[in-house]
Amino acid sequence: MTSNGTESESLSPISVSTRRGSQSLTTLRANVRSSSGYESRRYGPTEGVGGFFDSFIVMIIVTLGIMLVTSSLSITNGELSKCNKGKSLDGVCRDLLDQILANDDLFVESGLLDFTMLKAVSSLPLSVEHGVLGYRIILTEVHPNTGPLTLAANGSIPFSLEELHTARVPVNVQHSAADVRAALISVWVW
Amino acid sequence: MAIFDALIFLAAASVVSASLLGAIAPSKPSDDAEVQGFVERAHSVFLRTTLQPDQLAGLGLDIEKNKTLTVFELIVSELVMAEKVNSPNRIDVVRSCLTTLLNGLLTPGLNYAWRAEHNSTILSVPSPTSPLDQPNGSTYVSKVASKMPLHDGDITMTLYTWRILE
Repeated sequence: MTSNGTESESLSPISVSTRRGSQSLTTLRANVRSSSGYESRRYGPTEGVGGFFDSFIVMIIVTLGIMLVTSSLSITNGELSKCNKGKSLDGVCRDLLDQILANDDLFVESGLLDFTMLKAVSSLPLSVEHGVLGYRIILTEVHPNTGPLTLAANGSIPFSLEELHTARVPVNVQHSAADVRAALISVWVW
Repeated sequence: MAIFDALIFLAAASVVSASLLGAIAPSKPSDDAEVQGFVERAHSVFLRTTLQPDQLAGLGLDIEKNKTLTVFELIVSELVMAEKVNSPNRIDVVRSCLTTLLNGLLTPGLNYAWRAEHNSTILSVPSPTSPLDQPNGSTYVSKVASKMPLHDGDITMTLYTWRILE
């Protein structure tokens, strides 16, 4: 028997005073277990083991987001640099073609190349931008008995065709007054 | 709440990634003007080219020794001839010459159709791949018109080209 007249439980000799009266620890523990399902308030559903798993999922989602952004940034950067390099090499191709077409010594008249002067293309002082590894200037006549003719060459052709940039321009080539052929001057740059 | 925030972050990251990748996708350089220039130049080269005597053998043309015809002269003579005589074999020989030249100048990369008109007479070279192969996208047209030499009227030659889809 206690002082206020209630009977203490035999399992728990320690009693706790509350507004409603004194309760034993066993009763409090039983109340906590029934309301939350956990043994203790200290390791509740939002702060204990469950909170760790929540954070783990959050970390995965955030990592995915960061990876998504960084990978798209790197892809964009790679594509843009490739595009800029391609543009500059295409410009070199056109520049080389312009240098050939601007040389009046090679032409009998406008657009009509003198075949005997084509060998002079290899000795032309062609200016190529810094960073170009090599180039080829090739004449391909539309004629059954002739193949491609290399007019000028510099450097060795790369194994990968992706590195190769080309431009071509149609011209007439005069072998004689009665023999004017259609041809393409192609420039390869890498 | 933390998961909700993370999902919001993931959604924002997805939007940023999609816009970045979308921005580089249509960044292929537009070189329509360059192709147009190429086609016009190819057309003038085509008309200026001379044909070899063996190519003209089937036409029975009276050509002086050490002389030959340019494509333009051949077209003029064939249009005049076609107004008088209908000879499919002859037209086939001319078409074969013209097709060889146009193939050499424009392919690979471009497909084409070509035609010449004088009064109501038409000489045409269809697309070499298939008559059903129609332009799918930009068409680059080169038109050359001139007075018909030694005859009345004008002659108009038109080259239609378009990119071959890869």
